[in-house]
Amino acid sequence: MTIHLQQEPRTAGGGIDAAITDVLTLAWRAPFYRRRWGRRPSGAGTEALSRLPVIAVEDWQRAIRRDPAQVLAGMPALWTLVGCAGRDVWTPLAHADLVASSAQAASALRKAGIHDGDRIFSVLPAAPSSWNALPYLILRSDLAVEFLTVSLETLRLKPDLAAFPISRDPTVLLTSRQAMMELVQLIGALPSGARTVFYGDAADPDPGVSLAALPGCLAPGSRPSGTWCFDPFVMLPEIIVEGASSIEGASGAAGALLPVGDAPVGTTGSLVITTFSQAGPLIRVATGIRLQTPSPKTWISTSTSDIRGTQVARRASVTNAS
Amino acid sequence: MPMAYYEPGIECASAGDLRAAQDAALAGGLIRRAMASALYRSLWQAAGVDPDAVRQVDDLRRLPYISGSILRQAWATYDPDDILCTRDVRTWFATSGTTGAPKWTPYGRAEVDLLQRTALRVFYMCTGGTEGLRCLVFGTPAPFISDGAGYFSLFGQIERGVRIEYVLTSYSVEQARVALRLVTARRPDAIIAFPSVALRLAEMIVAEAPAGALAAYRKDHTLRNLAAVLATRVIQISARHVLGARVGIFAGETLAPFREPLSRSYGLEPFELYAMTEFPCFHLDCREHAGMHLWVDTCVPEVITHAELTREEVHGTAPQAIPLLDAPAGTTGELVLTTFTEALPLIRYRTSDLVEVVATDRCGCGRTHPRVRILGRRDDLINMGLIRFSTVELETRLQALPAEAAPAAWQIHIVREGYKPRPILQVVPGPGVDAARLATAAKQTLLDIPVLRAGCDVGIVLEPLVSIVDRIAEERTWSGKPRRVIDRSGTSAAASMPHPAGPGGRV
Repeated sequence: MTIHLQQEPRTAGGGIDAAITDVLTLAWRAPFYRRRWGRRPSGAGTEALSRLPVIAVEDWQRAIRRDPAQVLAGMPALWTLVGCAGRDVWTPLAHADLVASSAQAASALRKAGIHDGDRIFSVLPAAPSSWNALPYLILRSDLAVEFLTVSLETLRLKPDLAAFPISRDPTVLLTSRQAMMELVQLIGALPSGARTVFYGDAADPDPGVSLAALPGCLAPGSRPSGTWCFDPFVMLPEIIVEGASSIEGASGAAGALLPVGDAPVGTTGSLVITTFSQAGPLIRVATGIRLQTPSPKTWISTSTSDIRGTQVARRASVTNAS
Repeated sequence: MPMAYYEPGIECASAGDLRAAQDAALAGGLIRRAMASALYRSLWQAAGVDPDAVRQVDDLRRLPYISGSILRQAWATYDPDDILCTRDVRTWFATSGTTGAPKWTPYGRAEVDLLQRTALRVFYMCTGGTEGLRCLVFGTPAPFISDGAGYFSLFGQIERGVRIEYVLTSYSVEQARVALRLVTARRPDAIIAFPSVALRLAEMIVAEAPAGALAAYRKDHTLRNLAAVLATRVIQISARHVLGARVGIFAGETLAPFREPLSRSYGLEPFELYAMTEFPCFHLDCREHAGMHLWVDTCVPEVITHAELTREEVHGTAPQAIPLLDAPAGTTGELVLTTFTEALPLIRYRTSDLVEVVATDRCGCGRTHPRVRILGRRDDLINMGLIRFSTVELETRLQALPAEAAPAAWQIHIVREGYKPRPILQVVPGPGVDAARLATAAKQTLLDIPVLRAGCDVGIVLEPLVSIVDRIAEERTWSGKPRRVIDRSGTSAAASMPHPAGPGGRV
């Protein structure tokens, strides 16, 4: 199945280029990239990135299985598992990433329609899933919501644990579709009056899913108008155009690989991501997720976050009314 | 390991300063804020309490106690917003509900801050505060507080610029397996877990290490993997070889029966942590291992002595409590807490935890906060550490058996084989009941209790046994009540205590 994803236009290009230059310098510290790149990336920003090979996500996983230190470019604070096209991918995040992830997670929830004052009955998986961290990230953010979280692992043993959260009249039910189905079986009925916000795998074609995780990111992306939006300072998407070279062949075959923002409308291909974790960035990692660039539409992000450094800096609003 | 304090001015304050801090918290409006809660309002009005008259620890005796059942009743009776003392509730955690409905506790920013602060204190206590440590945390999934414990520690450390690496996972064997592949390479310095879960993991490592090493080598022909295969042929691989942690923080069940096997399996120094969902604060035994320090700057702990508990049961009189700071060493009784939290302060909350006051003077570690040992629980709990359920649940299920398989009487014994608990249910057949049929039905009844079934499935509790007896050997509690739960699972240390029972720190 194909998903739709769009990239914020490069109106914030200078910032992004600097961020890419920084993350490539950082990534060069990791043996994983040294071995694959052979030499330090030359040039700067997107231009330097465009010369680097694409790496399959399986290679990343294999390297972690052999020795997790291979992928580390800095000290990790947290290792988390992120679902990606049906497989779980270990992602190391640095202390600064966690600070930034709080604001990014709050932003994603706002785009999914969650606002201050909402009372959220959430059904989330146990650690080390990245979804497990969501309420704790939001606790540190300026999004003033109330979380009542349960897990299916616990509800299977004690379904009555759902009674109190439901009695609180939650305004939002945050769940995956699969978890919701099991929840209904376990407790009989869902909270009435709560709007449901589904989270899931970014590869999930279900149009009802409005929050999705991607490897390399702790904060989810959102799909406010049918198209996935990830903060470009969290994840920079590229597309291997369908019908062009395979992933392996894409190494050095830059013509087959386009930034999602530059791809013609309706281009179909597979998603390659670059993320900015200060502990273990993913640089041009092919996810196996098929995507199609959508028709131009209003970019609804009101702000983006700069993940460089330990403080989250707010950037100016970015709007594209094309 | 160097002695390290996170807040030396508080952790090592004089007894006088600690008392003054407690008095200041009470004089600072704690009781007036609590009076706004429906939990206390009618109770205190009935008792004629003037909240402004409670300004120091000695004044607390004017206030009635509350208990877990009063707390539960309040949540069932009132609008939760009428119980809360703040509008800033950000998240909730629940108890497991082993003695009734689960108790949900609100956490606002103040509660999160307290958790983070005390997480840092306990971290410094057992690790010396060294930057760059690696921690492996086994939590229980939401809505339990241990789901968040790793995050609270991590975020507290980030705020204070202390950089520690975490792998968080949950207690299930499957999740542990997933995390193990990663942590064997990251070699954690510290493990935070339930003792029984940590030991189950250690068993798993012993059993699976040879095949696991071989499989890894077949997949990746690295020198490291080859060395691992060769090692499994020369020595029995244990958790200490695979993980190499030097510190373990254990919570949720009494550490005593597990202390020695944990040290042996992991080669680590075990520390015992006491925490409860209702009071977001972590307490730990220090490196002297002479009781857990209760942080008295965050609460006023009191003890209702066994003599007072007996008077209460026999004569129905309201028991008196002694402030813990005034209790002589060796005092045993029920722990009562008044907490300085904001979302819902607990005022004179009877925890049902039985404690022994170890000492109230300065500890060898330099800290001055009093030290206690948890002896057990007062309530009717079938407690096998992480796995616990109410006698009421078992009674209800046994009563539901058909007449031809119904017991006339029962008693459950908890014994320990190695470090694992095993429940043995003694049943007396009713008139005309076929003993064999009763034995089968009673065993199935036990296994139908989901939490016990899960404990058996993951291997932290041994399969229950049923024994048919002519009569139940009567045992009575210290106050004369017949005992339905006979706990023989204590170690020599626990057995020397007046009322050996299961639970220790609970999360």
